[in-house]
Amino acid sequence: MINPRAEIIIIILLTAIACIIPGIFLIKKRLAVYSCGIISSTLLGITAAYGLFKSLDLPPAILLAAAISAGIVICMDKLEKRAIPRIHLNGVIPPFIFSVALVFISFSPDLELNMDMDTILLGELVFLPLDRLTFFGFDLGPLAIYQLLGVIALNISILVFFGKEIVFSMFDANYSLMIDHSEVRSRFALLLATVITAIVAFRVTGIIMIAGLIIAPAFIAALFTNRLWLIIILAGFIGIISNLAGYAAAHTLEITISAAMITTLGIIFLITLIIAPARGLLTKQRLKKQGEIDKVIALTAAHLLRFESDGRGELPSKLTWGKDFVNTALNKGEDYFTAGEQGYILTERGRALAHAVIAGCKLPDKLP
Amino acid sequence: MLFESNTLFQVALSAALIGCICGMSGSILTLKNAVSAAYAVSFASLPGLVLPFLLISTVKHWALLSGVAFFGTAAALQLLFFINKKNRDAFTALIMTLSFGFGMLLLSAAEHYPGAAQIDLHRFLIGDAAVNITADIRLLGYTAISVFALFILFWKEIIAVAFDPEFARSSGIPAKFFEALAAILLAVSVLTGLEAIGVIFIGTLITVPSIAARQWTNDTGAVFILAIGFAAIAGCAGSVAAALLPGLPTGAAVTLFVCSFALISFLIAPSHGILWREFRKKHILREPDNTKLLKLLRSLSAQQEPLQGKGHSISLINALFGGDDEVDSILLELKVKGLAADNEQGFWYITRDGEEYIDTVRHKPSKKVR
Repeated sequence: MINPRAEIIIIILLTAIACIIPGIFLIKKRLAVYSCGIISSTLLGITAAYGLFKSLDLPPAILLAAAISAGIVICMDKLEKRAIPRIHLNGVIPPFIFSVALVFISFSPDLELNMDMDTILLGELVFLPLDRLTFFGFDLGPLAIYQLLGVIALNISILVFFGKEIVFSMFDANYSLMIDHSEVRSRFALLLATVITAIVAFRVTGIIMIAGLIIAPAFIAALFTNRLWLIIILAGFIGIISNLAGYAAAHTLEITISAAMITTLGIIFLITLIIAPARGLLTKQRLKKQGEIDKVIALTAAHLLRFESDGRGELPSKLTWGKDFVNTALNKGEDYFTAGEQGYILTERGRALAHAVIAGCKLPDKLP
Repeated sequence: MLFESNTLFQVALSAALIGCICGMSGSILTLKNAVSAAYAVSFASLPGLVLPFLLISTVKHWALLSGVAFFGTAAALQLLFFINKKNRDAFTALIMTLSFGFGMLLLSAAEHYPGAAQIDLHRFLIGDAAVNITADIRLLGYTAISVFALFILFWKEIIAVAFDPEFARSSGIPAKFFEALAAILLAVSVLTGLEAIGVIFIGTLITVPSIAARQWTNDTGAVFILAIGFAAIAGCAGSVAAALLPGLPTGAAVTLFVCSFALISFLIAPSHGILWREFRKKHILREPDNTKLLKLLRSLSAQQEPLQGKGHSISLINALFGGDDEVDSILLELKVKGLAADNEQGFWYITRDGEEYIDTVRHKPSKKVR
């Protein structure tokens, strides 16, 4: 038997890995909010499994919980076919099921013993190493490790069997229908994988935060790159780092591990949102400013072309864009116009740009 | 103490007022199709709830609730303005879960604080109807009336901005201002219901009433009024139920009531409801379908002059008709009326009666059905 702390670390690493694959596809198919609802409605299945089997350890219990959750997904699909908008269904059904489960729990002392509010909302990571898998008297380690390994295998098989269908239906739903890839089937497989991941990992972080653990690493990774395999690797990396850092922080500060893991993810998310290379807020701000300057240069070039007939050059002081801004633009636009005796004169490149602007009646996105 | 009628009345009235405020601000969200924003804002207010306690270690409610208001408004503004449509889904989910995680972190940190026992912060998660015993009904009433007055005053502008911000901007309405107003109203309604309903469930009380109301009517004003009614009834009934049955979380009870309103509306509401659609499909849509299929059979037989009477297989008719699986039953119906017939091979063709029927129908304008 290894030390329980090491076992907890193994469990949270495996949780991070198990959450990658559903997360990426949920983000890419824009099912993030939908999946939050579905995940919170797994509580009914979990409650039923606890009620029948007294624990969530064995495969039959997990399968029962998964079957109930899959039933909910199918019901929502059927209702959606009856022309009730998904956004309305998603606002009503999951909270309803969640509160039904909560009412069951609060009126059954037997259930409440296993699942109090703290377990539902925060998980019981610290107690997970206590449930052990024994084989003819040999102690094989915590059961949760084997459950999570099973979930990882399931998710990888979803990636292998349905990955192509999901990717196709993501990009071109009509084409994927034409080559006989059913969008409904692949979506159901994806949601099933999400639900099973949530049910197994529910005890690690609780029912609400598990959605964050699934979605956040994938979304952060998708801010960096568009390549699927790179997103998978990056999301795994981010998940592992944040879980480890969260565990370390929780250990030193004596706070709840699951909340610390999610908060670390939140911090990484905020930092990435600001500094991500192509999609970060800083880059966007810079590109926006650059775009405005480009537009001023293009307009100035067109203006100069319009009034250059007397050969003296023209001072674009009539442009009412704000003096500092125009000056910046004029300094940046050295390639396009030069200062003459009485004003600015177009260069060859500037002339070409001005002609292009006038001919196209449209400002270019990027200067040639 | 709860069984005294006066106290129960107090609980019911304040819950109904909370419901009114929530229902009003929620109807904007349903118009904007941004239902999940309510959940994001309510979860985002959780850190705001705990942070003041940690910073100035006060248990005074104004400090807690101003923290809630700050975080909630910030999250609402974030969702309504700054995020482009493409990423809104993922952002909403992330704000929801990550801020909940942060809030739980602060909660677990607050447990180490001296004085944490004074205030049951866990109560804020699932709600407690008993809070309403000491609730300031007058303040709730003033809030509800002023929110209602805001809606009446700026009705046109709020609706225009909610439906189409670009159009509103182009017609001279300060769209940013009204979007900010909607966000602040959202935060206010989260704030009023937070203690009694709980962080996890307040989002339902905000959004679901207007979703339920939306099933009954297309008129925005009627949705608004109905949503207020649903929310008030659900808030009232849920709180009273939770007050009478110890152990029942108030938020869950309110959610059960309000969601059952919505589910019933999904089922029986006129013109949007499932049963209504079924009914209409059977009684109104049927007739044009029959005529359409008969016309198809006729055009098929016209193309196939020498083989008159030989007919076509069901799968072909099905494919040409548009892949509806009701083709079988429509064909049987036509057979009963003597307008179409099938031969031994199971091939269907149009009879002479059918052709005459088509000729009589042809010049009548067909009834337009959605």
